[in-house]
Amino acid sequence: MVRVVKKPEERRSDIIDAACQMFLAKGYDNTTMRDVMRHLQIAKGTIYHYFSSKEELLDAVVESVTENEVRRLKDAMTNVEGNALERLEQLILKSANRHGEDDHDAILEHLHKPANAGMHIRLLARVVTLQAPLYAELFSQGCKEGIFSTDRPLECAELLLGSIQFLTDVGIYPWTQDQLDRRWQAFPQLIENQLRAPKGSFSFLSAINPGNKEK
Amino acid sequence: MELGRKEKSDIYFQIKEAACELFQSKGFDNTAVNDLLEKLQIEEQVLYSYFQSLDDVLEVVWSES
Repeated sequence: MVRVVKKPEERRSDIIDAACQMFLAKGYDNTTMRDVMRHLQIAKGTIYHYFSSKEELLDAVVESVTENEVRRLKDAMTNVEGNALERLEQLILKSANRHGEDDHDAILEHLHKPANAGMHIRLLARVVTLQAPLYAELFSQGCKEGIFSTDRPLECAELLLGSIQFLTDVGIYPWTQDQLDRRWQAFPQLIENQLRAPKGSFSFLSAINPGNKEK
Repeated sequence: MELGRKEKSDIYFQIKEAACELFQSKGFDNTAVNDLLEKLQIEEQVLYSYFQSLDDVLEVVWSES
């Protein structure tokens, strides 16, 4: 085995990328240190040096995936102008419209396997934690502009993001199309209530229902 | 010497625990089978009746902690 000298950060992210692929393809439980070692052609001791447990590696994988997505959203939002509602609509659309991009569809397919439920839940928790501030900022902007009203923009964002994600993710639970349709119909009103936003201001959400796209 | 069932499973956990401590303090590459045997005061054959190699111990410790 040729000894390749790599920078620690690069080595660390190589391991994370390899683990991500393996966790998704084989399932978290079925992935062994040996699998990762073979994939990267590095020693087990090296893997252990960076991650002293499989769970630690899982956390790092989840964090990496989540951070990349947040960074993508932040970048996409830098030049978006307009009032809070207009910017919010853009943020939500950019978040939802990931189909056909990179390996996104393949990743989703793997994440939806029951074997990856644990990883999926962790991912969701980190998504809510890291993305809520993006939404909270827009909620605050909306409050200043007089279109929204809430004393707790961050918690409001967490509540909405968390529950909507959970209730619409068929990978977490095989929700029926009826349940999804019913919920997407109701979300605009529920969100408007929560933010005391003008009636109908969130009606653009109904167009997002993934079920509609597949029909 | 015949080991009772409880003692057998105890040894399994003791091996994992001791290995974990050694790997953390010395690093995996610097840990030898003898280090583990000495720490636990067990014979080689006892270790190998539970694990195929030190590599195997690492694999188990890593997946379970």
